[in-house]
Amino acid sequence: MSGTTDRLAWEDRISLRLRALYEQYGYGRYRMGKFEPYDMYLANRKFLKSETVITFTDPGGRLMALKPDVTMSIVKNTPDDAVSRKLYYAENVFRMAHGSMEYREISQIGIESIGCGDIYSEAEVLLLALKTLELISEEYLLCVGNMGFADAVFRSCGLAGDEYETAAEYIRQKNTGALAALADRLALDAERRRLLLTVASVSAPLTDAIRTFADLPLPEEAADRLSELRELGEILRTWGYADRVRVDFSIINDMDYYNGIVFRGFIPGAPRAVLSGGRYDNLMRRFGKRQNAVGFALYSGELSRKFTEEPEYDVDVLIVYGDAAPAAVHKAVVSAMSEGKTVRAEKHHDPDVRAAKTVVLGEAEVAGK
Amino acid sequence: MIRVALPKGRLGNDVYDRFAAIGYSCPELKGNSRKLVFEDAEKGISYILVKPSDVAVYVERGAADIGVIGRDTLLEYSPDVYELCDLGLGRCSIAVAAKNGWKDNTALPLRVATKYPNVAKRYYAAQSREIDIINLHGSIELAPIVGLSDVIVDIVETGTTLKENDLSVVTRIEESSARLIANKSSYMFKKDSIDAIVSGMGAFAE
Repeated sequence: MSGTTDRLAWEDRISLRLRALYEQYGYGRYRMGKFEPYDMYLANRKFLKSETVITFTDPGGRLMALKPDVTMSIVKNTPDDAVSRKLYYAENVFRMAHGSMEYREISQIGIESIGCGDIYSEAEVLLLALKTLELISEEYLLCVGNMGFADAVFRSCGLAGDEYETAAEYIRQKNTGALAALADRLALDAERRRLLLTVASVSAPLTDAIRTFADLPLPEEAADRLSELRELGEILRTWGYADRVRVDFSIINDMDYYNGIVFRGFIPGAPRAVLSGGRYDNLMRRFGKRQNAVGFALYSGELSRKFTEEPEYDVDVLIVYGDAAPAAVHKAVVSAMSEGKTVRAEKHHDPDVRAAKTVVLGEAEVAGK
Repeated sequence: MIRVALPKGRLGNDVYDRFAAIGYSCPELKGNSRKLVFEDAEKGISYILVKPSDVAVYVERGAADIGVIGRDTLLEYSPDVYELCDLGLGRCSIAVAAKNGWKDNTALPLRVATKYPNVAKRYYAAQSREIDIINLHGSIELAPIVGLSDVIVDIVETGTTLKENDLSVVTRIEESSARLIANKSSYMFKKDSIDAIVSGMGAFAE
């Protein structure tokens, strides 16, 4: 296919479609400045995915940081008396990539829904996450967990301090072997042991997951969180997304940041989650905000490698004009363009330029290589 | 198709035998071929043979869906993968070892030669012991003998190499054995096949 819209990079096309989607649902664009004083990140560095940010000194001698995160900036920007805010963003942030000692520029597209955090607003954010994935790939899965659920199970098993952190790490790794050893060390009874292992291993559609926990000794708090998940799942089912949602607690995240529901989006062939989000009332409180909030970000940069097809040609038509007069060259260019083609005019033939068709002015047309 | 990253060498061979026993054989792999990728489309499996310390990289980045790797390497690199089961093969310890009769001089930073710098740093940080890490890639035992380091942090299986070089274990830090790991995204989309392999492997556990 040729034509200008198809020639837009995959990332640009997706970005345009997603922005249209979010605007349809009434989300307004949030533009973020590229840098701000470092103090904020210093005070909240544990909330950042990587603790290092790029800093520099401004002419006034203040230490500034290139922004590593959009959500924090939106939280800070939220007026205390705002009833509700629905925002989307498409920004580049600067972070250290996992496992490397290098900074990366990472493009993030995401939404934040700030307000009372009722069930509809949560369901709407999940729906937009699903629609986001749907725009990217035919096949996709949204894994949903709940921080409060895991927390309640951990506490009912008597986990605290380092052991709590260790157990959370084992859940993230689905490391049932190590969890079983931990359960033995804690002398948990058989039912609680099975509960802890099930939290790690479960990865199933909502109804199956709920059945899995049915005969396990769920603490009240966990049972409440599970029925919230059931309620959300029911809404998503009526919207036609039951097959795309899976309950999986291995996606539990930083407890100081997220509280209720957390989720991650996967598409086949992308090695990590491409979308990540959840409810982050805890972060709001940390900044002294009373509103609740839920949102997600899509890491589109990681995807462009998967979706960018190596084009067969650099350009549809290559015009080699030699000594032809400028007016004649331009006429040939405009003529090819009027057929919806992309055109590149070169004085000499350049074998590195791959064209579907090469036109040599003043001579008969020759076929492209 | 499940893509498996196996570590080259004895461990990889032992693990392959288990895969073959549960129905994922690929006889070509056992031959003297110089090929790097072995595939049996009918059984829906392909194997790649890679350097043991690279298995995590292939799995984390999704070039393989699952892989087999020692816990020692997982502890060192902390890849973002699922650790689905302990295969019970390749058992060893990560230990601190020194020349026989060595005594720690706490007036000086401890010189630690290792190919597990992260494990060593974590261990000594927890002890509040200042260390000087010396990164080596092989023959770690040589370091204390020639005075390059005070101690080494390395894997110990039988302890024969240490004994022959007049060294002995000071402390065992961690126990290690081969683990089956999975890429987090692959697991979501190939859960049934991967779970079947995990339960098949579970049958070998004592």
